Amino acid sequence: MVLSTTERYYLLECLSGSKVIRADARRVDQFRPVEATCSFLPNSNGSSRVRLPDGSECIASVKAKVVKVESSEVTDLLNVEVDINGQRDDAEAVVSFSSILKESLAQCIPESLLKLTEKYAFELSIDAIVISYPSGISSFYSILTLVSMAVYLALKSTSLPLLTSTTEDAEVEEEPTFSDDWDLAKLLFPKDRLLAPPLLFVLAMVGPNLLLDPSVEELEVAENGLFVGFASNKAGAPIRSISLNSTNNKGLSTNHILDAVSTVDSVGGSVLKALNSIVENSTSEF
Amino acid sequence: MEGAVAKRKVLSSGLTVSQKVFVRSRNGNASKIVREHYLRDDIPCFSQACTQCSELYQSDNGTVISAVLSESPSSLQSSNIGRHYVLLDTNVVLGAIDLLESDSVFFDVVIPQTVLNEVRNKSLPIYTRLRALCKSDDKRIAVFHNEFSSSTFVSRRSAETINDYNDRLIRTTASFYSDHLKSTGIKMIYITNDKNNLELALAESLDAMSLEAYIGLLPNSQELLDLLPTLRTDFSRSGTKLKFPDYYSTSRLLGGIKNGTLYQGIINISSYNSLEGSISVSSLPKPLLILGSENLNRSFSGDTVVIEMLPRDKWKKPSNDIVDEETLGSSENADNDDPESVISDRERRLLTQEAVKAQTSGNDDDRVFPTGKVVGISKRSWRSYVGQISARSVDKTQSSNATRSVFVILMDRSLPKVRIRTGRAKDLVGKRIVVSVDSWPANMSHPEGHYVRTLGDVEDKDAEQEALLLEHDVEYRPFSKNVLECLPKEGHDWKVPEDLNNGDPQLAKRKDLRHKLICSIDPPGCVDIDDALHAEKLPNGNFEVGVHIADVSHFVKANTAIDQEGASRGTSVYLVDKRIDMLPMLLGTDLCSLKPYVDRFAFSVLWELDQDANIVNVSFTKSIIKSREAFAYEQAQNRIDDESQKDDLTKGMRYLLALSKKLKQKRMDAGALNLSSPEVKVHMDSETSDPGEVEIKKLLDTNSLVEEFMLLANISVARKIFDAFPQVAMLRRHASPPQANFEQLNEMLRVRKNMAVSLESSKALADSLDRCVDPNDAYFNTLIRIMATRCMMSAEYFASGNYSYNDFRHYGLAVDIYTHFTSPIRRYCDVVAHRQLAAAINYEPLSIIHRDKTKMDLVVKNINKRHRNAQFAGRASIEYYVGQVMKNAESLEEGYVIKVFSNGFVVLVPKFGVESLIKLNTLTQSGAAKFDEENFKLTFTTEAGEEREIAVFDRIKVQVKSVLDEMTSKRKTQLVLV
Repeated sequence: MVLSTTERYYLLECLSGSKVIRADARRVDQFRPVEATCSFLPNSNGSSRVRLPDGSECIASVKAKVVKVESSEVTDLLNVEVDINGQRDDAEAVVSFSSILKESLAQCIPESLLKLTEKYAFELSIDAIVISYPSGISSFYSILTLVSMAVYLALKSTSLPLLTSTTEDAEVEEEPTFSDDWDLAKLLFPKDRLLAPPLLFVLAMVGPNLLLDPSVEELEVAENGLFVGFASNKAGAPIRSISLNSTNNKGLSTNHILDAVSTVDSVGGSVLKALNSIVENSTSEF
Repeated sequence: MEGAVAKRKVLSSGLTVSQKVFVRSRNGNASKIVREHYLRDDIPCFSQACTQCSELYQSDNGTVISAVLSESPSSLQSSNIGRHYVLLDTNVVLGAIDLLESDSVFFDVVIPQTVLNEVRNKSLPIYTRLRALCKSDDKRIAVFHNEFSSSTFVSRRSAETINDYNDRLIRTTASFYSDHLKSTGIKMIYITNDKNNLELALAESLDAMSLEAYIGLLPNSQELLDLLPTLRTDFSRSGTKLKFPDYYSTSRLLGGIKNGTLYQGIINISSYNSLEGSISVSSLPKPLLILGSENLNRSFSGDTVVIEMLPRDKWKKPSNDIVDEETLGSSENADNDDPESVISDRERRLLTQEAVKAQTSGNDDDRVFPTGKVVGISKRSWRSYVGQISARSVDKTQSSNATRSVFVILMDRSLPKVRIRTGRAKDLVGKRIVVSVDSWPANMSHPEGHYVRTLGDVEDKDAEQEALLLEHDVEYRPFSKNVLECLPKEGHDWKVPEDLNNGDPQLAKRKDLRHKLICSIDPPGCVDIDDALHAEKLPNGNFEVGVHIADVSHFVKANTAIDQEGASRGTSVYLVDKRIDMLPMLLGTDLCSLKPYVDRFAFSVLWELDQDANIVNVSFTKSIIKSREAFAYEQAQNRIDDESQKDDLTKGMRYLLALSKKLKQKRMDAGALNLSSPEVKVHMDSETSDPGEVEIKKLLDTNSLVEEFMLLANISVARKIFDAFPQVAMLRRHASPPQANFEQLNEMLRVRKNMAVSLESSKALADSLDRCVDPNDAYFNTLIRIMATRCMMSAEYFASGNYSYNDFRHYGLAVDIYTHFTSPIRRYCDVVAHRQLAAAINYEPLSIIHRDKTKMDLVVKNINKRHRNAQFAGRASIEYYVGQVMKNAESLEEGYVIKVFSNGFVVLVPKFGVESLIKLNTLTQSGAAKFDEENFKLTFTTEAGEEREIAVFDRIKVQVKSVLDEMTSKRKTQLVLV
């Protein structure tokens, strides 16, 4: 995005002061309205579609397959792939998104959630496609929040088929059989909030201030960026600094990092609640 | 979250679409399946009385649909029902298919699509029978596609099981019909045998009742009540202890089979011992034994079962005893005192390794055979069985016609007794009846079944013949209308067209060979002549020889009804006095038969052979021939031998004979086997059709003549079709016998006669068989050949893509590639070979069903089965007639001992070609018999005090009697040692 000197100066002044004034009059910790739907892909166990008012859109889908387990590592049971429209499969952003999401998911999903019997478990394939993103951004990391919300919604709306054969097959092998009624399929993440997929929040740093959910202009003038993970109801790893634009880069101070964590801590819960209500309100067509 | 409410979207007027979601578990995987479901509103109700639907019957891409259900269906006076149609539930179709097929009940029936699908998933044979019934015009059965009609479709409620959902769909259909037909005054009666369903239906105020209740209302109910299937609720035996262990769950069976700890295969229960079964398993060199009724666990011979190997301490030796149903007065309670412990998969794998070691160990005496038990039955081989009511189970003091349970003893000795309920037990004793098996619950010692129909009195010729055909699964009913419509319209007046250039391209490709001096040589009285030959000398000194085969594939085109019927029958079946044809007689005995003096279509194989009968070149062509004479074997022999005959036809026959001798010599040098089976021919009294005399077939030179050229033709055709279709050519192979099969015979020969049979090559076998001669006994050599035949593998048909070229070998004929080509009138394999050859010579393109490997595999499997059944049926027929011959004439004959057991021995009587068991307990009461297993001999003291020693190969004298077995009512030969 090309900003004129005046615009740039104006934005920097507003955003770096002691009282932050954002261009769209949002509070520092306020998100832009999000439009989302769930469970619309017929062949997936869970799916979601998230859209932001600036035109960015992401679709995520979760499919499950039964596999024989060799190790008891959850990372073997998760396959995450992110695809950004127009980018190569080996582009840096694409590859790192996939691995960041996979790592954060692996930390949050206990193996017992996917295990079926002693020998068999579900393997999840999580795919996210960023269909469109604002043309003015210079770093893809700014759409990480969008992708993580799409994955969150898809996972929350995922149901797995119900096992009807026994779970004790250590000694005597049984072939897993499932109930053919889709309505008996159980949600992967049951409604209690303690067990939930992680979220990733991107914050833009301007002066001493941190802004949540930066818009395109804010991204352009930001002096640095961070993303912070939110899992198990508190902020935590992964925490990483990201470069949001190529023009204006200053260093982060410890205060920034601590502030970022506490902001996410306070905001995370309500974001979770809002997303959960989306899931509950969307009736599954299938 | 609320359950999925299927949204219906209207696509166009009359067409709506909705979605259904379900989970399919296959191979351990669970996939979510979403299917779109289209609904239409123009499906008619098929009642001729209904005016609303009359405009909906239009022809739809060629198939014409019309109202099937009668305007004035049968009416029930009782209980105010009046005119009605009947709608059947799945359990009624599955249990009472015989009743449905009967001519005395069930007309104007509606079968919902849901029922059709459920029946297909549960039992394919019953589904096929139902489909055939729906096509029949007399029964007036309509299939209503309730899942496609918007008026009867309902979507599944959340947490509703599939079964409940299907029941609801069927009840909705019944209620739709009730309302729809109100204006016509015809009621719809819903018949179901499921208690829950019945209750729900009555609650919805449908006219519903159980099958028994419905039958009870009919005027002819008495005779129909017997045919009702037995339901588990009939017998209030809930609470009796389980007599058999329960089967494992499906998931456990699948898991076990997949990881190799459980074995699946077809169980074969020996007819000598109904408590001993065996099953071949690919991972073990020898079959696994299943001993005892508890381990057999309700399996029937021929079922596909799942076996678990027993722990090592339970392995047993196969019995050297003969066990009948008779000796099983008090049923053998299989042991198993210790409670079943859970054995892990790892332990099972170790068990398998031990089993392999045990089976391959050399020491015969210490060898225990791995045994197993049945833990699940994948597929039942149940069919209709012939049997008779056990006189012992009928209480003669009861004279009323109340239904009571009786036992039926089946003709097949390896099957258990079946319990049926009938009101006419007293009438049915002494008759051969057909019964059908319904179920075998774990708390019953015998399976439950029901009566189907009567064949006739025991020993009545027609009843016996029908019983024989039923037991061997031979289709003998007359050809259906559809099949007969495929025959040429001119019928017997069909002729070869006069003008060969009439524009028919296929006709133009035929060669006119009517100038060749062709003749046929067949058994006396043969009317279906499928082969003819000719030979002439060429100017260069070589011979032109032609084999002409009836051109059946001209009349039987692929994918027609007549082709499907022929493929299903697979072969003609030859009984002593009757022939069950594979194709209608019009073709077999007239249009295709190469009758003399008329023009006929043929498929010809023409060779140029040199003086030593080597093939110089070969060609194949469709042709038109005119046979000059149809000889019988003896006639032809006489004509050749008669030196006064010097005409060209006779000269041709002499060339053929000389060449055939050379061909035979070449085959013998290459190692072809000359085995013999005790073939006998029964002479029937021409007036009364009573069996008169039994004769052993003799071989003449002319038999050999025809045989040699047929073999040569089969070989040449095999090469040609394999060359053209390497993946799907229809061929025939004969695997070399494994060493193990000959072990016992060789042991017996070594110990008793100091001879041996070599298996190094077929030539070595042939030569060693020639050497097995006893100077004192001319028949000994034939005896050894007969026993050797039994050790051979059977020859089988196969599609060429399934084996490598080396495995095409026909061991018995010592050729590298072989097929059946020369008898298309009586064998389906030959029809396929004809079609493939016609395509190979570019006469006609080959239909996809003979080019597709999967379809060919199915065809091959069927014809192998039919071929075996036909052989058994033929032998059984001979056995029966021989028994009838001997009924009149007891005689003293010579016999040879072919097998020795610890409580008896088996004797073969060459004159009649029969073999029978002589049990020790008929010869001596004292238990002083000594069984010397190593020397294959049995020593005992007779009643008269004489000490006798019976060993294998001994020539003995026996009194031959024909006795009626009181258990099975089968006539069998009884031999008494003299």
